[in-house]
Amino acid sequence: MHSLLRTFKVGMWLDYQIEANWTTPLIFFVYNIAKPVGSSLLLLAMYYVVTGSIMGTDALAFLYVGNAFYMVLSGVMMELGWVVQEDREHYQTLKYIYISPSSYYSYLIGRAAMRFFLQIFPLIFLMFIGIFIQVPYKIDAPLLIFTLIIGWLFMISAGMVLNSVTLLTARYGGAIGESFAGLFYLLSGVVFPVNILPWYLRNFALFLPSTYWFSLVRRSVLGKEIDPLLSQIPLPLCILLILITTAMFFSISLALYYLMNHLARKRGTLEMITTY
Amino acid sequence: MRNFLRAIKGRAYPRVVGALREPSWMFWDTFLPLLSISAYVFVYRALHAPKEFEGFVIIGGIMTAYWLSVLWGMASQFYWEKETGNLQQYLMAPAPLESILAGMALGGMFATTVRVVAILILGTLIFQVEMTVSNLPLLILIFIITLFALYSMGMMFASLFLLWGREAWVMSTLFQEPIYFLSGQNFPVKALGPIVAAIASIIPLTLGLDAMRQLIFPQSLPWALMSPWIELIFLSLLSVIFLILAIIFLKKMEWIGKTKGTILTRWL
Repeated sequence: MHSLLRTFKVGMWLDYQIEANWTTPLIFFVYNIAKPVGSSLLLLAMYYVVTGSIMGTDALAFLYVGNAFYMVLSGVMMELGWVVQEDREHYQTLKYIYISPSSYYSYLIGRAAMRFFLQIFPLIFLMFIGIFIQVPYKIDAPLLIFTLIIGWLFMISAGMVLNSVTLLTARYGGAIGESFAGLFYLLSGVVFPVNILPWYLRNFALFLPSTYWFSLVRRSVLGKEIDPLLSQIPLPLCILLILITTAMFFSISLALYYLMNHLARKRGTLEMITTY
Repeated sequence: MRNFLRAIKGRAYPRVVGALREPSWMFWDTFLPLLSISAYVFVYRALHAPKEFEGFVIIGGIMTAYWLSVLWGMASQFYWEKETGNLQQYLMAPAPLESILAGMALGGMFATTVRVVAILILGTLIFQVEMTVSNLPLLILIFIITLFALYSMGMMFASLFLLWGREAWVMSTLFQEPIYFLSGQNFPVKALGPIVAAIASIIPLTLGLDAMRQLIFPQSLPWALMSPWIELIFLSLLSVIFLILAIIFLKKMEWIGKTKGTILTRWL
């Protein structure tokens, strides 16, 4: 246990060094918020060209808050989608981490934890900007903290699925991470209500932990659920559903990790270098 | 000249073959970008936007694929090649570096076009977007010149990103979402106001998207930034400027490499 925790801590430290030691903390902060701000502005512009305004309506609050929290999810997914390729092909250290006595799994969780932590700053910044466009915040702090913790667990599970896949694929981890995050963006009622989706996708969305996570986000930040479909689910049931789906997701990701890990060792892809 | 052409062919070859040989790339690059495109289409549907706005998203998604190819397959490529040890071989090869960049651009264009065609077909079919092309030859011309300008920009950044070292990755990341916003990826860039739109026009994507939107969706004319013909002229100018700058920066990079001797040093 002590060894796992130490690896976890080192993973976090390493992730911060890789991400941020190229510059000063201030410049890193600006860099870190550029993507979330750019993404939010894109959505606000889309909202503006349709409605002619960027001031507080429920639709705007839905879109803005969902996107701000999605940036946390997206950041973690992007990191975990790339980390295997980065270690294997860029730094070429994957094989050394593998043969070291530390656990690769806890190393990856450590890296995901730091990325999650780093994404909290842009989230706070975006929430602050939201005040200027009159997002009607009504924050339920205990629920928000619970939502963030359970969200982190779910994101790690999703990230481990990505890692497991990239153990066997060529250099395209970034795209995998982005695309996987795109799946949640599309299906989880992040920037539009789930009932807009065609029925088959809507049914699929209800099996994803991210759907309930974004519902909890809105309940904890806006004090209500705007989505017509998800608002029919009472809060306790919503919490229960996210716990169940996250546990399922975690179990699947763990099983997939061990399977892919075994296949990667068998096929010798831990040292693969792809330079198309 | 023969060496120049052979080097272009030689560098384009692995990308053309790689595009078809690596099935996982094909999957991630074609099917999965549709997810974010779909999400933006549904945003417009939720807001009850006019149907042509959904078409903007598809066109934006297509051009974004090229932008990503320019960023990750051109601009960051020399840095990546340095890290994997290929760059020194390019420098020693009896062919100019310009031909290597041109080969990367052609190969990258091909690989991206394969995916873009799939995205266009699937996106149009799934969302039933009606496209009424008002001037096909002009549309094709603008598309080609936009690609030329974009990849020239990528060639220019290739040397710069190599000199910037690790910050190359940072720049590539930084040039995604903010550029999607500034170039009007999913919305008419005129909405940003004339000053911001004019500044954003330095990115070929902005003018290319605006011109293509006008030619494919005539209903969007009230949102047009300027006439497609004028945008074509600007795009041509940008192409030439970026190409000249690419050659200048390439020479500069070679000079720094020879005088400081750090250009091939990894992990910088």
